[in-house]
Amino acid sequence: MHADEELMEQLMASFREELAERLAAINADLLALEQQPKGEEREQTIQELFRHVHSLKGAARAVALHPIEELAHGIEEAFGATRRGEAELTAELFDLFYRGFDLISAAMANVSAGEKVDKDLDIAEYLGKLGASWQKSPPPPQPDLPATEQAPSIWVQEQGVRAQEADSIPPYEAPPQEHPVAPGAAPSSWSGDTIRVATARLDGLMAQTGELLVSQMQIAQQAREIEQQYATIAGWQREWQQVRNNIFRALQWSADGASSQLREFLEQNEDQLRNLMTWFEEYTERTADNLARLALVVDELQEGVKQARMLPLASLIGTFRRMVRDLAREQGKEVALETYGADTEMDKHVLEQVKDPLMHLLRNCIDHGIEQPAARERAGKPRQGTINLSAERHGNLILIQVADDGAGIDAQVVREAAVRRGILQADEAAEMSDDAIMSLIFLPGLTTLRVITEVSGRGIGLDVVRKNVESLQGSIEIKSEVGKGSAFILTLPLTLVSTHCLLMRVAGQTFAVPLAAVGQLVPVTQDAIVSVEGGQAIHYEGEPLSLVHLTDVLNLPPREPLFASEEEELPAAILEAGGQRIAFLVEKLVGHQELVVKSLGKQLARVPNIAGAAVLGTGEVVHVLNVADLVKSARSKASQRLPARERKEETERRKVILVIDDSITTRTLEKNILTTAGYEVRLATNGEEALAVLAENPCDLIVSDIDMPRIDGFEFTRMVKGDERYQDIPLILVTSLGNDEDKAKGIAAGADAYIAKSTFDQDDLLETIEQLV
Amino acid sequence: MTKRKRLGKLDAETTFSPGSKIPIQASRWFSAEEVAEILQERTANLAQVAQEMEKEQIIHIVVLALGEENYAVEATYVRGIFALENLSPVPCTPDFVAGVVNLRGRIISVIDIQRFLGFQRTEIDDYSQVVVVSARGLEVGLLARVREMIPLPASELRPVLPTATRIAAEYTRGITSRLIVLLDLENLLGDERLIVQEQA
Repeated sequence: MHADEELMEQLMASFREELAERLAAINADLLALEQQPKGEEREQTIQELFRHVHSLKGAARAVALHPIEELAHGIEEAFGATRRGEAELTAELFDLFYRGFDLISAAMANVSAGEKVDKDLDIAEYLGKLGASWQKSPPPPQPDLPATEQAPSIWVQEQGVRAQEADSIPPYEAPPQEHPVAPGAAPSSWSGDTIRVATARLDGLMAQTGELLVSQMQIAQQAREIEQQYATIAGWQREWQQVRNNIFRALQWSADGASSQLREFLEQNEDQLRNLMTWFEEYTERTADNLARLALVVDELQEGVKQARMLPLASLIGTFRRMVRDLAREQGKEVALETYGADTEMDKHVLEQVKDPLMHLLRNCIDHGIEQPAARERAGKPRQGTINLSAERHGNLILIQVADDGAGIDAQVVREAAVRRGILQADEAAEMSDDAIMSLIFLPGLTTLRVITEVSGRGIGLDVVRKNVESLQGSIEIKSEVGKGSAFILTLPLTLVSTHCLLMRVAGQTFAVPLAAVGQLVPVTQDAIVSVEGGQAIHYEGEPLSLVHLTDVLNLPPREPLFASEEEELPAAILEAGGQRIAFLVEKLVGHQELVVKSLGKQLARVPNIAGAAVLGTGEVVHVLNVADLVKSARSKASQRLPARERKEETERRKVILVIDDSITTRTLEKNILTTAGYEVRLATNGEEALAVLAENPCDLIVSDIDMPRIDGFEFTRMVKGDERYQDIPLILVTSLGNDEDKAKGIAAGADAYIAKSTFDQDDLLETIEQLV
Repeated sequence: MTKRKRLGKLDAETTFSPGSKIPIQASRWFSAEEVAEILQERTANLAQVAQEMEKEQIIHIVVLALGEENYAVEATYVRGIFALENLSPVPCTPDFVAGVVNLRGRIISVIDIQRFLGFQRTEIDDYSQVVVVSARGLEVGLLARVREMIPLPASELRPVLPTATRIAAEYTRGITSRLIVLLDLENLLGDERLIVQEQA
C-alpha cells in the first residue's frame, strides 16, 4: 500500500469516528433545541450545533467526501440564517435538519460499503428544499462572479462562502482567554502520525496484556516444574554413577547370556539417561531464555499500552477554569487559577476518577478558603486570591496538590468540634498534634459540621473525596496554616493495571492485599497477645496495637486451635488506612506478586472488605482485600467483643489508680486494662498534670511513664516520694526503656515497681498492682 | 422452517446444534437402559419436531439439574457451559453466592439459584458445572448440572399453577409437559435482590 493510501485510510477511519460522535451530539442538541424556549441556553445550543456542523464540514473536506461537505455546508448556512435572525426555526426546518443528518449518515454508510458516496441519495434535491425553506427570496446572484463560474461546482461554491466567512469569523471558535487548552483539535490539523483510537479498544488491549502477564506467570511456574524434573533426573544419574562400576564388574564375572543381555540393556539405558540429561539441560536453558525474552516483551507491551492510555491533566483544566470563574463570580470573589505541571500524564481511568474529587476540592477552596476581596485587603493580602493546581510525577505515583492562599483551617476549631461531636475525648484531643487533628476533617462526622465550615472554612463532603481517592488506591493529606491558606495533597497511582500484592492464607483460602497498604509484618506468639477491653492487642514499637484475626473480619471459620504450640509464631500484617493502624493475624504468608486486579462483576457490585479478584499463575482466583474496609470492619468487630477479665466486685470500694503517660494509645490501653479489672482510673499526660490531679483526689496507686515532656518519670517519682502527702502511694514505673541502668535509677528515685513495656502484658501489670494495693 | 434461534457465539466447551437433543458433556457413563431410553425419546422428539417445526415456534431450552430438581433456561440466554473448577468462595456475601470462577481470564460470579429462591443449597460435586447466562445486562454463572438441551414447541409450555411448583410465579415462564419449570431469566437477573451492594 502506498503511504498516501495508508494515510487516507487512517484519515477515513478517524473521520468515521468523528462523524459518529458529532452526529450523536448533533442529534442530542437538535432534540434539546426543539424543547428549549428562547433564551441564553437556546443560544448556546445553537452555537454548539453550529460548531459541530462547521467542524464536520471541514473534516469531510479533508477526506474529500464532497457530498457530505456539501450537505454540512447547506445545513450550516441554514443555521447561520437562524442565528442572524433571518430565518425562524420552524418545525419544517427541524424536520429538514434531521433529514439532512440522516442523509449524511447514509452517505457515510455508502463509503463504508465501498460504494459511491452519493449512491441513491438525491443531495441536490435536498439542498434545494433546504435553501427554499429559509430563503424568502432566492439568493441574489453574485455580481462579481461571471455566470460561467456559477456552475454547481462544490468547490467553487465553497470558496465563495469561505470568502464571506472570512469577514465575520464566528465568535464561538475563539476560545475565551481563560482557556489555555483549546477544546478539541481543529479537524484541519489531521496528520499522519496521530490516529484516534476508541478507548474501548485500548481497554481491550489492556485486558489482553493483563492476560499475557498471567500466562507469563503460568509459564514461569511450568519452567520451575521442569527444573525440578531435571533435578530429579540428575539425582537418578548420580545414584547410577555410584553403583554402575560395581554392577558392571559383577556382570562381567558371570558369563551367562542373561547377564550379557542385562549388561547391554544397562549400557543402553546409561546412554538414554545421558541423552535425557543433555536434552533437559538444553531445554531448561532454552525455556529460561524464552521466558526472559517473553518477560521483557510483556513488560514493554504493557508499558506501551499503559502509555497509550495516558492523558495529560491539562485535558481537565479547561473545565476547572470555567468552574472556578463561575463560582468566584457568583460569590463576589476574585480568584485566579494557576496551574503547574498540567502536562503530567496519567491513566485515563485514574484521570476520570480524580476529576470529581479535584472539582470538589477546588469548590471548597472558593467556598471556604478564599476570602471576600475586602477581607483579604484587611488581612494585607492581594484582593485576588490564588488557587494553585499542580501535578508532578514521582516514579509510579502522581502527586496532585490543590492549594489556596485563603483563610486556612484552625486546628483548634477542628479539635473543639471533634470533642463536641464525641469523636475524641477532651484529653485525647488536647494531646494530638495539629497535623493529626487536621486529618480528622476527612471523617464523615466532622466534615459536615457547620461550625467548622463557618468559622474557618472547609468541610462538606471531604469524606467523599477521601473515599474516591482511596478507591483509586491513593491517599489524601491536608496541610493548613491559619491566615495563610491550605493545601490538599493527593497521591495517586500512575495506572491501575497491576498492583504489587502480598499473598496470605487463612481458612484454606488465599487473599491478596496491596503491598502499599502493608506497614509491617510481625511474627506473633500466643503469649504476645494481650486482652484489652474491646479486643486484643500486641506490642509494636513499644506501643500497643489492636490485633484482629482476619478470619473474624471476613466471617470465615478460625483455625482450631489457632496456635499449635506455645512457641508457634503466626504472621500478622499491620495494615494502614485512613490514618489507622491495625494488626491482622493470618495463618500463613504465601509471598508477594504482581497481580492484575479485576472487578467481581456487576452482580457483586460492592462486597464489604473485598476490592476485587486476581488470577494466580496456578489458575486459582484470589480475592484482593479492601484495606479501608478491613480497618473499618475490624474496629466495629472489636467493640462487640466481651471484656477479657471479670470485673471486681462492685461492693468493694473501687481503688483509684492514676495513670500518667504522654502517649494517648498507651494511656488508653492501660485505662482499658485497669477499668476492666475493676479499678477507677484517672489520667494525666505529664508530671505536672499528675501533681494537680493528686492534689485534688486521693489515689491508691500511681502508674507512670518515664519518657515525658517537662517533668520526666524519675523526677516525678522523686517529687511524689519526697512529698509526705503522697509518699505512701505505691508507684509503678512503666517504660519502653528496658535496660538495667534505668531500672536502678527508677528504684533509686523511690519507685515501688518497674515494668518494661517490651515485656508488658496485662497480667504482669495487674499482678504487680494487686501486690501493691 | 421456523426461524432458527442462534445461540450466538457459544464460548463453551460443548457446543450445541439447535434442533438436536444431546446430553451435554457426557460427564458420566449412561447405562444401556438409559441410552435406549434417551435414544427412543430423541427419536420421538425429532419426529415430533419435524412435524411441528413447520407451524410452530420452537424454544430451545437447556435443562439443568439442581440437586434433585430439574429446571430449564432458554438457550438464547446461555453464553457458555463450563466444568466447575477453582471456585473461590467470596467472604462477606449472601449464601446464594457460591463464589467466583476464572473463565478464560474473566471473573464470573457463580450463583446458587436454588438457594436464592429460598431452598436448600445446591451440593457441589465433581460433575458440577457453571452455566453462564446473560440477561438485562447482567452476566452470571449458574451452579448446576446440564442434563440436556431440547427443542420445546411453544405450545407445550403451560402456565405454572401456584400449587405446581415451589417457585414464585414471577421467576417462571411456564412448565413443560415433563414438569420441567422454565425459569424466567429476565425477571431473575433483573431482580435487585440478586445484586450484592454492601458497604463495610
